[in-house]
Amino acid sequence: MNNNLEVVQANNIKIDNKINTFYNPDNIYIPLYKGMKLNKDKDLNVLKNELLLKGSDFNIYSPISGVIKKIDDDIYINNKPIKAIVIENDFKEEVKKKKYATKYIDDLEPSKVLELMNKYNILDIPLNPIAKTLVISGIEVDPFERNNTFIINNYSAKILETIDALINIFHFEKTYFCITNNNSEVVYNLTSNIGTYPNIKLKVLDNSYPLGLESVLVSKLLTKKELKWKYNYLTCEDLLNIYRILKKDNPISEKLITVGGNCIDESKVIAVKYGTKISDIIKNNIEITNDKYLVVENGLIAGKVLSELNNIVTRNTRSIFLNTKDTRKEKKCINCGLCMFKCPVGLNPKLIKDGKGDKSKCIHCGACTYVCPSLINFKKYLGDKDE
Amino acid sequence: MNNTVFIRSKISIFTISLVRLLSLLPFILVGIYLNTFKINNINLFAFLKPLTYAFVGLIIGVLVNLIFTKKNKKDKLSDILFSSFHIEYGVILGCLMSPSVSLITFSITLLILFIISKLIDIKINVMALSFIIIYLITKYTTSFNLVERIATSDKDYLIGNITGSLLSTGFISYLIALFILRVNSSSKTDISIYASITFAILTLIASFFTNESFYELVFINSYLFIFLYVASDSISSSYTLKGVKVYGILIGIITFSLMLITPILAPFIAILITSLFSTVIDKLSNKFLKKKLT
Repeated sequence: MNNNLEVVQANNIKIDNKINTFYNPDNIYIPLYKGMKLNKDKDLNVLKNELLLKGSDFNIYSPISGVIKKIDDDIYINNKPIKAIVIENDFKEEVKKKKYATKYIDDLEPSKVLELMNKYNILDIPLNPIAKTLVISGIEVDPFERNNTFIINNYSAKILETIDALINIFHFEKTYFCITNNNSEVVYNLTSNIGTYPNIKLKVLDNSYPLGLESVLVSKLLTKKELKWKYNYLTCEDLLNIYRILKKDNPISEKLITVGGNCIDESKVIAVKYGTKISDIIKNNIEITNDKYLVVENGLIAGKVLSELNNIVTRNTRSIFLNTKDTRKEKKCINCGLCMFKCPVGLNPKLIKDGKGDKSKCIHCGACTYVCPSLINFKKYLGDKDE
Repeated sequence: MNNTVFIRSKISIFTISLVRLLSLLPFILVGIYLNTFKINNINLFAFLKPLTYAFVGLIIGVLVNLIFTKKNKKDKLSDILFSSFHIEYGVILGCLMSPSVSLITFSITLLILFIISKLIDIKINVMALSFIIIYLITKYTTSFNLVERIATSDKDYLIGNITGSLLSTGFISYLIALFILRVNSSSKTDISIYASITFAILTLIASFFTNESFYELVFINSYLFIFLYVASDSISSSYTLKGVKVYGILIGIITFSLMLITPILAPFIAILITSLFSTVIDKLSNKFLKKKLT
């Protein structure tokens, strides 16, 4: 029996392939993480891509040019308060020194590629040069997001060039590019370009949630042998960022986020600067059709409600949704077993709800809550992954 | 992740029941044709009577849901009418009734049992219990034969060319209905499949030792229909992936064991007994099979 979970409501979400940008907020907020040193003094000018904060593990570069105004402590990341440097935008986008682009990125040495990725902190988990398999996910983490779709439709040539370069530089034995079969435009874009890259295997999978999560996709795609040999996992956005840093040796200053929900006129993908306040994005880019909304970050199924609109865009921000919540009352369990059947890691949410099951392996995808016919909210029993 | 829910699937008791009721159509349509048009000496009452039981069962299910559901302003009519599975129970029991059963007996008994099942929260198969009680009342209050089976060849069993209730419509209707339920990801069809296969294997072995026809043993008394619709009741059956298989196998075994003693009630008693232990079956099958794998 088919245990694919198709989020039918998401199939109707269509976005324009037009590139929307919001590069001109009045201020940008750079989080001042613990142990980080400010490389500049207050009231001094800062240029775009200039090193702003030095840390032991990573550095932060300014995404805009402007003036450092103050340190604000009314800024939030994932609803947690954090101190942030406020940079007033001068809207000039001035850079220190213009760099010439690298012509052929596959001519770069592996050490150079890894050095650049590390310098600009592109990936959460550094690329493993000895892994034999490369998995590229073109599947949205949340079915209501459209970041990967947007990137594939607008930048497929660059992405494929980057994958090919990585294969040649690191000698990956197998490369899988995974997409789902529900978006014909994406399938067409890739199948028409991928022919010139015989090293890249295109895998068109059934549209199922949460295939966009790494653990779920990899367990479905790779054999035990391939898992044992280790693999690298990259998303389309990772590839686009890698392309940009390899080409220009500049930090990434912007992020693509999907903006959607049932309280706005239309969904779209917007390129915004890192450190932009969510409230600025909403004020300047969205036409609100219903005031009774909550702001949800990173997905309608497994996302988090933002209690403060002073949350800022970080590398982990994928989407914001302005949506009303489901207020229907929970009913008595009908024992259908769908929560267990649709769970991607084989847990028993009904048993966990009764206080008996093991919830340690839960990946907090929200599939059980989504699918329950009795409207039971299992999220209450499965715990918050931030705790 | 926090606790607020924004989006839910369209699956509800209404959609689950609707799929199950629609999958009854092959049985109903073929049953009307074979049990009425093909029989000589039909009149309008005889033509409508098998369908009447299903309709009366539907009405009783609707009535019980309307009386016992707490209504909110925001609730849709479908949410109120299908607040539980009683409509489905009523229609399926109607399909199970032979035209020999008194309509009044059926209606009153069903209404009382449905009301009791709403008031007392016991995890038991309501359909099986209702059928057993209606059968016993009818048997001891009337002198009619409850089921008449006339078949001329084994082929008749496959296409359902035997008289009786609406569900006397054979293997092909069963396959169509099973396909409809399976495609719609009805998670309990495993129970039906495992029960049917277990029962079929046991009767095949038995048919080698007895003079009984395999087709007669498997297809008479509509056991396949009962496994498909009654055994797979959502509320009272096992729900885990391993539990449903064990549950189905047990139903098949117990039905076969009771078949010689009480051929009509055998599957219902089997389902009633296993439904009482469905939670235990879930617990033990997951524990035992997990240990075996490790």
